[in-house]
Amino acid sequence: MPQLHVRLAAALLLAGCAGQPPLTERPGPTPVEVELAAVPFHPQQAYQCGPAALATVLNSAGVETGPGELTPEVYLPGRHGSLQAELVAAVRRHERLPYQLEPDIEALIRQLQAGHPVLVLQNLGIAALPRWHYAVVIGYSGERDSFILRSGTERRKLMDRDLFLRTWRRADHWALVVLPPERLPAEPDPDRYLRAAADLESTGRIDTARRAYVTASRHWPQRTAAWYGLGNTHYLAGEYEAAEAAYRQALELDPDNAAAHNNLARALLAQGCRDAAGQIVEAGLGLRDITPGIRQALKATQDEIVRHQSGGEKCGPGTNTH
Amino acid sequence: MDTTRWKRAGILALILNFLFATFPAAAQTGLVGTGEMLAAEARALHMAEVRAGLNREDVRQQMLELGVDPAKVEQRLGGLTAAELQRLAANMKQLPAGAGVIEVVGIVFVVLLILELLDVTDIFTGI
Repeated sequence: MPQLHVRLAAALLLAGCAGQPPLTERPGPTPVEVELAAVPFHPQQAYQCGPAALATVLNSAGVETGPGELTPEVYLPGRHGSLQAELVAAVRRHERLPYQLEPDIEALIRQLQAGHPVLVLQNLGIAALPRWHYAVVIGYSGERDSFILRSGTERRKLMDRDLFLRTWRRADHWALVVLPPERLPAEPDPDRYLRAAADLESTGRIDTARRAYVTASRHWPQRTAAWYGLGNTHYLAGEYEAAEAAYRQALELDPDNAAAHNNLARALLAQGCRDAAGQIVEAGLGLRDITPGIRQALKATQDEIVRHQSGGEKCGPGTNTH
Repeated sequence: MDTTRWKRAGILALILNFLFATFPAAAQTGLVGTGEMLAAEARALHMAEVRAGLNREDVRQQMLELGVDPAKVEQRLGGLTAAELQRLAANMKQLPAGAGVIEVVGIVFVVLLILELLDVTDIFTGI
């Protein structure tokens, strides 16, 4: 009999929270009642909770799609599931901004209160035998002490708070909000937001990235990266004058930004302002502590300026054009 | 000897192909992308691009092995950043793949295992 008790204790530890700190993630000092009842529901087919949950959050961000359409985009037959990175990539391809939340239950609840359903990864098993599952959190009931989920084949699943927190913690608190580029998440973190916008830019979603940078530059006008990114997306759309203005704004905030010198020079060159571009590149190369990559980019721009045929300079000096 | 040279030429062609397919901004316009500008550590942009191209090819192969429709692979690769490609190239077969609550077999297995430890069942010999 004593042996049974030992084994029972061992089994419970194994199944529950072996070696993990006690729960400190208490939602809200005051009881919260929030439920986004209008969030649609797509019951999952077979192993396809990824496409179903993704469809739910994309719909809420104004994208018309369904799990059937998304399955070939995110489902990995050989893994019987979907990877987080592929869900994020699919959000970008649908011209929305994937904003990953900080790993904090308070942050998650604030998104709900602001009207954003939250896509989460859960581990329904244990660390050694993981059962990965995507669900969409649409509410929290302080009275019932439960989270409200669109999950699997259940339209309105009530999950006990502590159980939800355990399954979510075992998936490293991964949570994602899907946003139209005009909207910010609740209590947005500028670094997270701008990083997400930069990822839209680097994956070629230029127009969506530009709209996100506009949103960012309005909300955080003191952030260099917002203006810099705006400049890049204007440049890539062939709007060189607008690009130039945005880069100048970035340089006003951060005069020692070598990358902004390079890109401003490119925008000037694209407008035929060879001399002005040359001066900006010179100034950029004269800065201290340039990373090798940026120096390389500046040198390439310099070479390009030299190659560029001078055709009737119609621009003023580098620092004061426009 | 000859084979190596052809191989090298092939790899170079692939790299160039990826560079231009993946990084229209950096490779063709001379712009420094916002992500690169934000990256704090000093690094060579072109090396990062080459690495991204190789990771991309790696992920493409793994996607095909894992049963992704070849016609969809390009589209799926297109939404991934260089950092994501790197993570996938290294761990695609281990990273969490959300499947869902329908996978009952696994949960039953856990229950059975616990029952086994409690001496309630005796399915797994040798535990």
